[in-house]
Amino acid sequence: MTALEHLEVEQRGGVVIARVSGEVDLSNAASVTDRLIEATPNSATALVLDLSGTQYLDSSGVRMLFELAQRLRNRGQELELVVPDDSNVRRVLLLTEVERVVPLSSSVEAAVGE
Amino acid sequence: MTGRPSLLEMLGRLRWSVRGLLPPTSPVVMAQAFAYLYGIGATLSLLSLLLPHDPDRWVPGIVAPALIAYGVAALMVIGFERIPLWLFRLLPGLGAVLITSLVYSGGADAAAGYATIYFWAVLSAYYFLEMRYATITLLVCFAGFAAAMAAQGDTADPAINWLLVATTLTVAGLLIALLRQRSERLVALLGEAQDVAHIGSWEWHIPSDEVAWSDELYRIHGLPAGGFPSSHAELLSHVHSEDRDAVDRTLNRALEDHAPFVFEHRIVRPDGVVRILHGGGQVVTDDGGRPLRVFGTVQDVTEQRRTQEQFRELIESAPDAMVIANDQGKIQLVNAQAEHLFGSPRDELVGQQVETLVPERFRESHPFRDLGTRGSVELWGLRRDGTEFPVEISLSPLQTEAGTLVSSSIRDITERKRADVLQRSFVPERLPEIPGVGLAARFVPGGTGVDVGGDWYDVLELEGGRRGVVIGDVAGRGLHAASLMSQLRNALRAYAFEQHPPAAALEHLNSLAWRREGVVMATIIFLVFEPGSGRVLLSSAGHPPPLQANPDGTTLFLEEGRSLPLGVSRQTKYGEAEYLLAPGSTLLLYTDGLIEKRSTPIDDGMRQLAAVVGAHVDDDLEVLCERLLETVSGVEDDVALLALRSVPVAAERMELTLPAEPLELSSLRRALQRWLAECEASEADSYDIVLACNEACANAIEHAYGPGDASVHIDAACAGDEVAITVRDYGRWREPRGNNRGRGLGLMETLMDSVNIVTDPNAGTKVSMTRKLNVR
Repeated sequence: MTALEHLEVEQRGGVVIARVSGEVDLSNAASVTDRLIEATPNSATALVLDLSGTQYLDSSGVRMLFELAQRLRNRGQELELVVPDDSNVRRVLLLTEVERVVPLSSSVEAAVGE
Repeated sequence: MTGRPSLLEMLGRLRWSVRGLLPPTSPVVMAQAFAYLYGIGATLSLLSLLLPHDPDRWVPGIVAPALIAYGVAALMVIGFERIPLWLFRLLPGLGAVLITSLVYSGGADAAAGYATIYFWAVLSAYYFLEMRYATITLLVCFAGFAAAMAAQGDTADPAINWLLVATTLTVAGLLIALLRQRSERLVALLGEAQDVAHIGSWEWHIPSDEVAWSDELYRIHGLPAGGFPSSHAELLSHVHSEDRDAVDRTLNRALEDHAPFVFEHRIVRPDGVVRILHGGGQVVTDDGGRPLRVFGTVQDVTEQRRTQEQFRELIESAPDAMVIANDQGKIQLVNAQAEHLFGSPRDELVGQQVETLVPERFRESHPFRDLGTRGSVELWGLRRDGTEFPVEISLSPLQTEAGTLVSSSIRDITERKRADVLQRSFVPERLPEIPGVGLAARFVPGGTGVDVGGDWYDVLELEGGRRGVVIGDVAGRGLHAASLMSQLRNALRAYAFEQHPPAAALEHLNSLAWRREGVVMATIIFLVFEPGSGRVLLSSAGHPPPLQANPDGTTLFLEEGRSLPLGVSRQTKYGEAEYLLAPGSTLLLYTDGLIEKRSTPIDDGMRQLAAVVGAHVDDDLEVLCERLLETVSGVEDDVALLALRSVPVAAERMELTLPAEPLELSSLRRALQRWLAECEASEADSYDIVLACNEACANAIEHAYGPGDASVHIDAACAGDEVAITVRDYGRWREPRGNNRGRGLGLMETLMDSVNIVTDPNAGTKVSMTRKLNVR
């Protein structure tokens, strides 16, 4: 069985950019969280999580984002999310009020440029 | 014509009469001709006294004939209206005597000079009269001359005189021939004009009871032209025996009051042909006010009257009210239907403006005169008593001698308007969309469309997703049938909603029909269809059997479950039959209009129906309905038909049992997405429903304990535009803890229209959610 999600990580200066494509649900949310923490070295100032390629994100994925933000904050690092303006994932994030805790951008450039 | 006209007036009248309007044998024409002849002759003979003369001449023998001739001329001019015909016949003879006297008295040498008088006499006779009068006059003059010459004896030189006379007469003959040639064309033209108009003229000289006719009048009567003038009694003998009294009355009245008169009567020709004549006349009185002459014109109006009669009959026999108006909008002709429709007698309608037939507020825009209007227009009509009623008007132009008339055909559509409203209320405006059932229906009113038919159909949503389907046919047409139909329809609805099975419902309906006054006859089928199973429970009250068509094209009529029509017997027990409609099978309900045609036996109609339905088992039901109506086009009766198809329910319902494993969630989502696509849910709807269902399942999976309860059961159904999903687990619902746990439930509640969670400590948790699909 192929993995639901695919993870790509790159680093630009002090910012780690991670792209999650595929789906995030109860079955893989915990592992995706762990892998993202691992991919973010202590030296990094921020993690930009690009969800542009994410087709599905349920409440487990939302829980993952809150957890990720908390753990990065504990390490003095920022979390930023990139979500296309009219995507289904953005709707879910707005419905669950993620944007109150984690800033949302519509493109990686916008997120990195800040 | 009372009072004495002046001489000039009389002369003027004489000139006028020559125009061919009076018969040539008319005293007026003859008086005129002889006045000229005698006047000119007398003048010429007096003038000859001035010429160099023969010493032998005897002046009194010249002056006396001239004076007599003047006297005759004067008599003609003054008394022409009173001269009887026999007097005219004496005049040529008198002329001969006078000429003889003239020639004899003139002396031998002047005889040639007097010959010129003949020249003028003959020429005038021709000019004013006809050839035969000229010939008679010529012969008379010739005889007179010969007599005079003989009497003179040897004093004259006969050779020279005869030569001169012969020369003069030859020139006169040539001139006559020339004139005749020229005038013949005129006569021909005049004759043609008379032929076309069929106008003849006549004159009745009362004292002598002589009637003179023009040639055209002879033609009209089918008699040889130029027949001898006849008497009044003979004239009446040509008149149709039934009209004789009327003609006599008209004439007698005219003879009393001397007023101009108009008459119309039939005549019978010698060959038996009947013609219709129309004419007018005028009585001329003498100084004492006694009728002297009656003259008049006659026209053969047979063709016109027949055309008018046919036209009137046509108008009268039209099924609709007809109003014919001229281009000024004035009503010229109406039929009895129009009298009835507008509540006004004929003589009141004719002469009115057409605008008075429509209510005032429509008068500016009324289409009565606008021939640009094509087809028919619906409008309001106004009765004499002020009531208004809806009408349909069609206009057409009518070319007549009196110009262009506008003919309006007017139909009272009150009944049809009522029928329209009623009819619309009898059949559902839109058939409900039901999962598992395909439905299509048609209603085509037969006949003229004014009456309401007694056919109807109905589709009801019953408890448990079952459908009630009804088709019925009340005997008769019109409002009575319609109101009965509406009662039966509504009563059956009530019985159906109260869960009465078909047979019981029909029994109730039958007893209801018996409680009604008057004769009630109706056939009806009530069936209940269960979409999931395809089960059909059917009861028929004498209605034509439904036709089942299987997916392979085979067909059969469902004859079971049939009893007597409603209203036949109070004791009728209605039976029920159960059928199974396999997925893809079609059931056709119809009224007898579809299979009954006057020209073909009912069995043929049913065979034809089965063939058409069998050939379209794979087609859309709407297509099937159209085809069916095409094959029965030209029906006299109403046709109602309703086609029902059992649709495979796979697309409408999905059941899924998953192991309570997080990894199963993605396959749940795939299955759900596929199913929702089949339900024609939009992508956004699909995302929301899948997400909500995923949350419910995720919750169940997170709370599953042990192997016994390690499964999640999903039941999804799509009914119309509503999706209902039930997620059931066999574990124990745990109240959500903390923020994160609440998010799943929050999402479900936000995404779905309703979320209902029932937890049983022993039986597990059931989450029921519904969501309306947005119309794409």
